[in-house]
Amino acid sequence: MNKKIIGLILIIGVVFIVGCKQEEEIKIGALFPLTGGLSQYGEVAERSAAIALEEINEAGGINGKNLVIDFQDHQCNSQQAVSNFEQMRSVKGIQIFTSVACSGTVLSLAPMLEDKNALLLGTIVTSPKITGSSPNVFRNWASDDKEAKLFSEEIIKMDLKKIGVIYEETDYAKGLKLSLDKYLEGSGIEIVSESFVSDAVDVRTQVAKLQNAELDLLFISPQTVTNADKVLKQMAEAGFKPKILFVNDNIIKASNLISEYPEILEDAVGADYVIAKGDEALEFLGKYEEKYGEPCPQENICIAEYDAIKLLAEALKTGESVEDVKDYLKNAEYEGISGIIQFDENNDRDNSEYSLFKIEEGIVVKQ
Amino acid sequence: MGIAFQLFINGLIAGAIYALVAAGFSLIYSTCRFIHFAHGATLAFSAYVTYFLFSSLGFDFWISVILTLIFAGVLGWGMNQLVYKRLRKKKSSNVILLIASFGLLILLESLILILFGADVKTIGFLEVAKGLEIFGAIITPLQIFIVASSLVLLGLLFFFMKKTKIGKAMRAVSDNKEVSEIVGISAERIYSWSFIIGSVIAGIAGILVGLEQNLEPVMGTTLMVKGFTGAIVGGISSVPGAILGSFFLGLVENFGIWYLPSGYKDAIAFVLLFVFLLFKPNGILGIRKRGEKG
Repeated sequence: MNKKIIGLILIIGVVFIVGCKQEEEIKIGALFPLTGGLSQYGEVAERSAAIALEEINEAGGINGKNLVIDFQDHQCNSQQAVSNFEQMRSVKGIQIFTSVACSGTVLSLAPMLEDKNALLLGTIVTSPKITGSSPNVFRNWASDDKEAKLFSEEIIKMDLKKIGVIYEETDYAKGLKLSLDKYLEGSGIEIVSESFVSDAVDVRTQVAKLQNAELDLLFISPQTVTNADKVLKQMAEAGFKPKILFVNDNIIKASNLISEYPEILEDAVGADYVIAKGDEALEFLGKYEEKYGEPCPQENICIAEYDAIKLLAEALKTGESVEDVKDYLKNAEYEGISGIIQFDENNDRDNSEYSLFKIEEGIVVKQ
Repeated sequence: MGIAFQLFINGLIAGAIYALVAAGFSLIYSTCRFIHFAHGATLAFSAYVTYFLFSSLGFDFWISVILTLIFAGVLGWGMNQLVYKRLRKKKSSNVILLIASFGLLILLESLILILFGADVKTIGFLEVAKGLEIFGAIITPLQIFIVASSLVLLGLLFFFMKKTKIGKAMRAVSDNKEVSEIVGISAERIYSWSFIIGSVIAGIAGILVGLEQNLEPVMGTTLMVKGFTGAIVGGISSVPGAILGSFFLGLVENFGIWYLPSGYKDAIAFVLLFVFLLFKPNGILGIRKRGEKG
């Protein structure tokens, strides 16, 4: 009997201590692609967030409370993102989220955020559909509508007659293709489009049709590096080297693909969201290298996610509720290591622009 | 000839990959009379074992292949012994066996995820290079090998089922289990052999598909859906039928998107599946039992 009473007291004690500890913490949820076709983005973002977290807590946390980040893997899968979100919100009581990559995951969460009193700050989520998708979604990155606009301006300058597009059937990859269609409308340029689903066994026939279409230019828009590899491999096997090749930012960022398929990707043109690297950004990148023993391979993502965590921490200092954080972000003029972060009326980052790049001798060079 | 011949070749390559999946799957179905969906996981696990032995441990490629095939056979045998045999003893219906097979599929895929992670893996035995040009169409030596393997498998399985003692016993058990047991054929022994042989074929498929594509934990499910469709089209109870059906599916899919938008590729496969289920449920070569229509 005595043993039972002691056991009960111990359990109550543990629950009390854990409860007290939770009172001293503020948790935010991180939905990152830690495995799967974009895991390289998730990994560097997690590391960068960890550095930001360490600095925040070393400097006293959020009004004396420690900040804790609950990292979850959405695998670039919308269903998984919703499941992670529900679990973190309902079981752990998390209301403030940060996410990295895969527009589809944000678009799946957007309709439920307001009702469920939650807020999400996304990094490297680029679909134009995210703009205005929810008053509780903020984007610390540029919309790829700007990427498509940049591509279309270049294509129109080249005075081409027929271009081809091969894209993955996802919000991001297809969104980019649809934006390109929009900006090329009325230009007189014929667009031949081929698509494939994310789990397609092969894309050989799509590649064969494009190879046979006598294109002046081909644009490849995959969702993940994995599927980019599938397209490039089958192009290499078919001996298909387009006259001019445009690629989306997933390929421009993938150094493994650039070294694996040099013949196809040499001279390829891509665009990426460029973040100015001032002294503070360089200092952070140095810290990253020192901590992890290697430089950040995706500097823009590292810098942007570091800023996202610091920005959320600043917002939480004004109040822990979703409304407090939202009010702060709406009116933010935060001086991050990526420059001044402000959001426009649609909660997209202001003054975010894409720049053109070209792959020259295996190196991505800004144009 | 131009693109039409290229699409024909593409259809053959896709069909050969589906056929490698469908052959083992159909062999198990034709004997055991239930749909073993975990066959897809055997394929995926085999691909990962080859990757582990060859790329991670640095074993000789051919030794890795042999060890993988042994692993696949043992995995199939183990699934039968540990799960299906026990369920059969409890007189479980085929629906229960089907549900168990889904459970095994998910379990094995989760195991792959835990053991190898979700990152894409490449076996890396062959370098990516331009394929050979045959009458204007491009095909790589590996793809020729995959197509040839499927065709050889078709012949071998046909011979195996018709001429060997075990093959004949499999057909007998498939036809009438009770009568087979009366004449001295152990149905359980035949079931075990079906799982071993079917799973070794899945092992071959896993290795070849792993060489052709990158490895992903769920690769077996995607291929299983296509292999299943091919088996239904060709006749799920007939191994040669399942192989022919898979080639037919590969060709229809690839020629189908010649004019249709390429996003419809999977839809074409499923339309074909529904057409056969509705109008020819026994498939192209499926065995029609007395009293059955179609």
